[in-house]
Amino acid sequence: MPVIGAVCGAAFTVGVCVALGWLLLRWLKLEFHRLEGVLLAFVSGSACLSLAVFGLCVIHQARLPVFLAGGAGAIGGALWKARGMARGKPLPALPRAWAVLFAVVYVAFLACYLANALAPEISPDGSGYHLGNVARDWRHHGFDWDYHSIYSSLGQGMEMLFLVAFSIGRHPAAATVHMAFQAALPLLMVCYGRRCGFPRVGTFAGLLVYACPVVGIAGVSAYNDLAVATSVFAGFYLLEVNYSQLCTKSLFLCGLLSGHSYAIKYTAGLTLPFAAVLTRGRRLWVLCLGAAAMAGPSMIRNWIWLGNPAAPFLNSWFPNPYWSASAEHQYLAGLREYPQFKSYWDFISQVTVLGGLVPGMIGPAFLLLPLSLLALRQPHGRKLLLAGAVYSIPAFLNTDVRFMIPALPFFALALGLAMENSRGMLPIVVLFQSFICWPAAMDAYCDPNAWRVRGFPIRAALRPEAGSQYIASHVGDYALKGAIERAVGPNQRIFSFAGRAAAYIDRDIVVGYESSQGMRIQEALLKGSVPEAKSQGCDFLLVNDTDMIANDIKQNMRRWGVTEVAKANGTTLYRID
Amino acid sequence: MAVLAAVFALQVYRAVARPIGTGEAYLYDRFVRPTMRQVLQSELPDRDVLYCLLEKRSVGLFHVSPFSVRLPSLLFGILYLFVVWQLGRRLSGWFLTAGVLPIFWDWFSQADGTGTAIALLLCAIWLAVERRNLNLIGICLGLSVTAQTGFAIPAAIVALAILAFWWRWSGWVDRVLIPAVVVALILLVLPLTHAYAPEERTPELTASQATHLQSALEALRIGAGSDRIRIGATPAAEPVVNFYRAQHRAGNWERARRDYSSEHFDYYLFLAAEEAAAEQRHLIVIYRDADFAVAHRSSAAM
Repeated sequence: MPVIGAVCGAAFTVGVCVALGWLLLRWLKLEFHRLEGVLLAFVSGSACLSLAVFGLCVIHQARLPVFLAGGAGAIGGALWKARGMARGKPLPALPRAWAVLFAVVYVAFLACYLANALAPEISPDGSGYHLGNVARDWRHHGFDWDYHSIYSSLGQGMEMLFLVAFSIGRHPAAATVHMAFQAALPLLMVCYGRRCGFPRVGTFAGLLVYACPVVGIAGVSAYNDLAVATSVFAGFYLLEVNYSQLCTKSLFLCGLLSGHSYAIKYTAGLTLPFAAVLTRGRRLWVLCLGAAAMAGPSMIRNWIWLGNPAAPFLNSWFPNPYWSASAEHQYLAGLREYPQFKSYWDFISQVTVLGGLVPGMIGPAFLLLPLSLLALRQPHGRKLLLAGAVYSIPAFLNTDVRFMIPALPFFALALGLAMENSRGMLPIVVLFQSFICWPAAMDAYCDPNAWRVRGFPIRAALRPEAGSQYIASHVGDYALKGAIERAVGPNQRIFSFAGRAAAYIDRDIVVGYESSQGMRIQEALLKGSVPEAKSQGCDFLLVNDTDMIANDIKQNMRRWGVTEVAKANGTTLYRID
Repeated sequence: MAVLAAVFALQVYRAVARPIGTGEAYLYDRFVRPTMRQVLQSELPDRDVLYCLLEKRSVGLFHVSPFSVRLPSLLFGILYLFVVWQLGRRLSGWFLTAGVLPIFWDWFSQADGTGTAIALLLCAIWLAVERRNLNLIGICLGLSVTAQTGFAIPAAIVALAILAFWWRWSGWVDRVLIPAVVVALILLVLPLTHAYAPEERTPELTASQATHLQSALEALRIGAGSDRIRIGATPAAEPVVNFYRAQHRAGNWERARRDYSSEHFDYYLFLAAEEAAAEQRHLIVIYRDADFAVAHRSSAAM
């Protein structure tokens, strides 16, 4: 059963993360309370594992036996070190009613999210480039230096963790690793509340974020937004815990998490300057050292490989043959482009409740966010609001609602602080958000096309045949998988105008807008010059019925010099003769 | 006390005896009868959200009738009279006198959120004056707005007045502002985010028209018998026809439509003044009074 592989793959990866993190915390001699120690070990260990796998990919040794041996060594080492050690002290207790409320809501959503994470991966970016990169790295046991795409030059911090899980349990295992970060975030928020003396607020905020629809769907997909949010929050947590007496080792760990956040997603690079501001610049070098240890390798790789340490961005500063500054500008402008809204209220209702014109929504309870400004009355509230404002900046650069996720924990905590003294309001809001964001309830009110968790796909998770049908019904390109893998040789390349489900197609696909090579092929095809496209290294074409050349190529195959190989779901595969 | 009891008895009588009005029938037909999903999909702006929820409960328990749709209002009438009595005792007898003026009677014997909103707003004022159950003040203000969205500004004024009297910012924030906003958001968020359709204009029937309409509908029911029929009605009568259909479980009647000029129906409910239209269409008039006429097509099954 694929589900067993997925569970084993994810459990192994998470186990190795915790073990490595635990060893790191021991080495740094940092003491934490019981639950927060485990959670911080998981997050910091994920940074270590990501870096280690990155190294293996550079030397092309990303193989299952290496992962198993290394992982077993890390787990064994951690267990050996832990023997005979006293368990950490527990955090101050949660009020009983809140503990019950948290347990009920958390377990209900956890079950729902787990069923979705273990089902085959069908998310657009997950089945596209996130796991597409992972599958390519797996085929080559490391980075494919000959394949150039904006998405393969991104940080790969999360993809490195996916690779370990993928090697054992394939696509669902990778998504389940991301779900582990999603599950850790509310627990970390509860710990933060208990540590800082407002346990009810921590629980409230944790549940508010955990039930949030966009957090749900992004967390169960092979994306990286929840990993970013959890790493960013863990970094903030470390700073808050050590705010009164800045400990060098804790700062180093915070720097490490900042660098890891950047390696996962460039927008999380804000963590380092924010941490520097919070510490008022004290011992900045320690922070930078930690950050450099995690972010440096990826930047060096890109500098050597592509001539641009910040690839695929800053191409005007670092000109290179793989992507141009004008293409970058066009791409970024496209990300910032919102659809037409009737009014500001329309925009707000789309982002919070409807989720049709923007991908995903954050849940109706977040309409209360203006009340969080009342938290300015408290020192913790001011810091949380500042953090929320800083991590909201990426949301202005990208219209995807998931770009708001890193800011949500901070705003939810600030909202909780603002409402803490209003008797009965915190549980009412939590229950409201939990009921209204339950998948079956959302059917009643949100847009039919909203990006969200839609139920419990247990059959798809448990049965391989049902799993294939499930993928085929959600991922259009999956129908061409067999034909592509039969017709296209392992060293041949396919060109496509649009992004494809690269995670499921065992061949390299050059996408028009993703590289300079792709753009050259695209221009050649738009001019009708197939030989020029072929000279650029393109052997096959995947054409959607909606593409500009679709009708012409279909009616004049001989003139174009192509042969139709297969066709499904409005997409045709042509061989260039 | 006796005056208050008499006023309440009068309200009960009016709730039972008065024929259903257009606004009341419209509220039932558009927001109470359909499922929540249908209401949200219709995108019509609902201004009496809390009242519709209570009316749904009442209709579920006692079936559709003019009394059952007015029952929530009537119950809030008890709260209103109690609060007026308490405020009269605490502040001035004039308050009591003003509170039982006939102008207020209608609000507690008609099926819309105005009476509910007034009762809740007054309750918030009373709690603030008495300085008891302070946490309930904000909840009452929030519920008042959800009972009738038009009460947003009066509720805000009351909240600010409480702040002015208390002069304690954090207590006001925690006990008035936050509960009011939370309660209002929970009940209003879905209706407001789905209210994209323009409001339907529905002229209200006069008391005599409402009475005559009931007689016209009786005549129509007798005329149609058990045949499956389609009915076209005036905009003011259409919700009442649909209410009547639900009340009498007339399953053979399709939902009445208001634009009878553009379609062909089996039966037509005209204003008496528009009877000429019936002649133009060669309809057979089966009922006529000072306000309404009922006609059917000559080919309609009788």
